[in-house]
Amino acid sequence: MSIVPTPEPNPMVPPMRSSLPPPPPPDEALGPLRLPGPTPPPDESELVDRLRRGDSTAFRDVVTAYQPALLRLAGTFVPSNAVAEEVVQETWIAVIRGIDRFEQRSSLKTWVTRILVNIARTKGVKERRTVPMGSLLSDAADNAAVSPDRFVGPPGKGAWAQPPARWSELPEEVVLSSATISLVIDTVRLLPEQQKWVVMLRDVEDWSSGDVCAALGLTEGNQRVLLHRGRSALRAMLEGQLGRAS
Amino acid sequence: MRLLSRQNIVCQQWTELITDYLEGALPRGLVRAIDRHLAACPHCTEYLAQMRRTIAITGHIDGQIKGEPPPAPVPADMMDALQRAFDDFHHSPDA
Repeated sequence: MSIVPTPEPNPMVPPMRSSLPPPPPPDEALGPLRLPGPTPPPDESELVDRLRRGDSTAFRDVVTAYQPALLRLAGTFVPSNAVAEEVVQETWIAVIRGIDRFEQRSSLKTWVTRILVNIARTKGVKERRTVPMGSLLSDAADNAAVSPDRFVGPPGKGAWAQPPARWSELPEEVVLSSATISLVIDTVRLLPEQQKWVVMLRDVEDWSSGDVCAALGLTEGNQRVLLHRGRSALRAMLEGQLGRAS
Repeated sequence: MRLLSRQNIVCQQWTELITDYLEGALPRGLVRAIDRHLAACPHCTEYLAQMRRTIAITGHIDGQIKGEPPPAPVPADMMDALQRAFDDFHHSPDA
């Protein structure tokens, strides 16, 4: 099953490019996995052995445990719930067929997610919707975290002319209102794909940077660039909601 | 980056270094320069607070991104289909 990743980070994201890189060829030859992140839990190799031996209970347990996060991730990248479910289902089929080749250099969750990423990317490209606002958040036009017109002084070395507002004084019910959360969800959906994966895994799923690099095939540096752009776009959008001028 | 560490950091540079700073990916000299700037610049301190808040709010979309309520258990028919695929694979002659 060619969609199953062989375990080398694939430095496919040029840090300063905005356009979507094509998904890696599924049968791309890759080398050994680096930086698996946290050590897999001690019982995991036993779990993997059980999966390899065809233990249905172990398989059901893993599906039950991972399904919500996988669906959530897939749902962010493909146009409909139906397609998201399809992506997750194909992921499990690939896991079934590929578990013998899983070398346990990363956690099982990282490996399964990496398969999902590959499948979702392929589907996402096939079924991509036109997102009118997407261009607003594309990093093609302007890579600045904050619009340069908010600063005075030499280009790139300005001081605040329109400083950030004090969100700390806002009540929690405003900060975490459903309007705020919806805005964040909408903004995450509109991020360029690579940024979206990194933000979803780091800040929503709470993965370590090492795990994210392993799952997405990114270098640490590229991962940070994508995280920076994604978080900066989210902060800028939130500024519209929570207040800009102090 | 090394050159920058000998200079003073200005506000606009901080907004581009913040993620590397939070990720612990900057050389010590640059971190010191940033800390000096933050101690003197309430606006950049607020920017840091905003970014932390942004990260925290993003963490709250967990479970809501697919709509309410959070994902239900795996539907029985899907689980059964997957298990059949799992069993077939392990019991096929090629397994």
